[in-house]
Amino acid sequence: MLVKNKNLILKTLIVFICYLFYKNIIVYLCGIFNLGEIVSSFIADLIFFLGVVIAYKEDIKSDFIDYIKNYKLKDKIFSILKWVLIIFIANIIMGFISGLLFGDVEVDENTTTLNSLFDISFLYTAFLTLIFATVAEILVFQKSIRDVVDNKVAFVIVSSVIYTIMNFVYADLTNVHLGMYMFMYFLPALILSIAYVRNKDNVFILMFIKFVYNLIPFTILVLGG
Amino acid sequence: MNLKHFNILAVVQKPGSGSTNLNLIIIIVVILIIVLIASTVLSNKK
Repeated sequence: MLVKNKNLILKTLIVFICYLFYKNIIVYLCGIFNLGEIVSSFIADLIFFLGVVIAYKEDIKSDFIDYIKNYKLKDKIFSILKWVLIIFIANIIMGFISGLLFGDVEVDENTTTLNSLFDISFLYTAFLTLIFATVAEILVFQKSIRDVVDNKVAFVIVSSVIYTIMNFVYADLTNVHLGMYMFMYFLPALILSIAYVRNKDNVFILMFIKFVYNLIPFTILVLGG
Repeated sequence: MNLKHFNILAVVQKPGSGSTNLNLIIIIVVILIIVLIASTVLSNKK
C-alpha cells in the first residue's frame, strides 16, 4: 500500500515537472532546427500529450471499461449534459455579475492568446482546446492530483487552485480585473473537480464533460464570437 | 453571447514569453510539494 502510494507520489511529481517545463525545452530544441513557433508548439504539445496518455494508459483503459459496462446510455448522456449545464450556468452568472461590477471588461489574456492562435492555425487551436485540454489537462490536473490526495474536499480545492494559477502563469499580473478573471477559471475548474469525485473518479466521463463544454466556446470562436 | 462569458478551458503555454511569471510556477511547485508531503505523512499514519 505504502509502496504504491510512494510510486504514485513520484509519478504525480514527474508529470507536473514535465508539464511545467516541457514546452520551453521542446520549443527550444525545435528552434535549433529552425522550426516555426506554431509547429514547435504543436510538436511539444503532441509529445507531452502522448507521454501523459502512455503514463496513465491503464487507468484510462479501466475507466473506459467501467464507463461502457456500468453506465446506461441515458445516464451517460444525462450525466455529461448535467455537468456541462452547471458549468454553463455558472459562467452565465459570473458573466452577469462581472458585467454589473466592472462593466464591459475585455476578455482575459489566455482567451486573447487562443483567439490569436485561432487566426494563425485552426487545426492547432482545435487540437489544443478539444483534444489536449480534454485529455492531457484532465490527466494532469485531476487524475494525477487525485492519485495522491485521498480527501475529496482537499482534492477539489488543490486541483482547482493549481489549474487556475496555470491559466495566469503567462498573463499580465498587473491587470486590474485579474481577480475576476481568476474566479472565472476557478469556478469551472471547481465544478469539473466536483464532477470527477461525484462520478467515482472516472477520468473518461470528465474528459467527455470538458470536451462537450469546450465545444461551445470553440464553436463561438469558429463563428467569430 | 460571446467569449467574454465562455472561457475555453485550455491553458495556453507561451514558451520564451517575457510575461512568464516564474513566481506562479514556484507557487504551483510549493503547493504540489505541500500536498505530496501531506499525503506521504497521512499514508504513513495509516
